[in-house]
Amino acid sequence: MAIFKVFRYNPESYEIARFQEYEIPDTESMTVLEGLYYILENIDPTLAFRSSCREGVCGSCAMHINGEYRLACETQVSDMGHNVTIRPLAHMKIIRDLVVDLTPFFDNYEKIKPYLINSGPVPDKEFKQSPKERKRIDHHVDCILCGACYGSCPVLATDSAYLGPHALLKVLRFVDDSRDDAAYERLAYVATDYGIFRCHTIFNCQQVCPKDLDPTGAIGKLKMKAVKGKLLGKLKKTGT
Amino acid sequence: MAERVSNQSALTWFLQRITGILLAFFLVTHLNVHHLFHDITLEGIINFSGVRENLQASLWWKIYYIVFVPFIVFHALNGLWQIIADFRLKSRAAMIVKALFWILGITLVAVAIMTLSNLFGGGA
Ligand code: FES
Repeated sequence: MAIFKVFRYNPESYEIARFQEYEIPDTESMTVLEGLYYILENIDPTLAFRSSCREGVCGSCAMHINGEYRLACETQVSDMGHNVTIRPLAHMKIIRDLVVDLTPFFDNYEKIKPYLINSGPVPDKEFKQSPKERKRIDHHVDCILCGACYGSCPVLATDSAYLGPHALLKVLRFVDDSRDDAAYERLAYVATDYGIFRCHTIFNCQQVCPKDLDPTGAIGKLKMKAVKGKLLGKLKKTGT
Repeated sequence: MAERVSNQSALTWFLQRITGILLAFFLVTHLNVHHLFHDITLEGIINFSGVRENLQASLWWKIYYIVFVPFIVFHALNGLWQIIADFRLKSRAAMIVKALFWILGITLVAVAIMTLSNLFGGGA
């Protein structure tokens, strides 16, 4: 048996935010997400949460579980000691219960132009890349945009203009991509105090990333590249 | 990627690191010379004359302190500004705070250099 203490809040009702307790009878091999589905299907059909793939691929089920941001579908109830406290992701408006408004998260992501920019002629078949060049970005492409890093970052608690670790990790992914030729434009965009220089290297994002990525390290690398670019006078400022 | 402000933060970030590293060196040297091992004491007590004699002893110490003061002031005020900047002040408020920091920084460096030059020259 496990006790789930789940954060409940409906901005449209007059009730204040609270934690509601649910008893889940059989939790053997059960994930936290399955526990939430059990509540939804058997106890309380009004509980709201997000999920889709149920296998750690889509990133929709990131939430704050027992003191850490995790994917509910990849977290075993037994690992949580059968007492599970669940809160929504931080720094975003709550739409209802565990569902938050991800608009600022994706707005920031959009700002860094998360796609290849190549001003050269478009090749007939594809932009070629050697295995060695591909290896440089191997790690960063695994980000599933779950928002765990965004929720865990203390800088975002006070500064919503900060781009966030998810967006900055992706910047390095494109800066390091041999097919992309907008590295200095990208660096110029993030080498500001709402970008990489707002990061205080707190490592929360790295600690919580369910894909074991290293946004803190990526931001560190971007800082070095940006300083080098600035000293060499290569950072380009461009329009939209 | 709409155009935004300058990339000045790249330089201030870099300078904060450089001054940080140099301050570690300055601090160890300062403690070593004035507080811990060197005999700048009269009858075992660290006092003003001992420190002044030491400062007047060589050009090296003069350069050392002239550099030390602006570095420490920059590092401290820039560090403080970075903390304040976390709270994303409105641009007018940010400008006022920055201006106050500049005034404070320049005043502190000026006062320190005036005091040091008195010491170098043998005044009080
Ligand atoms: S449901 Fe897709 S990552 Fe958890």
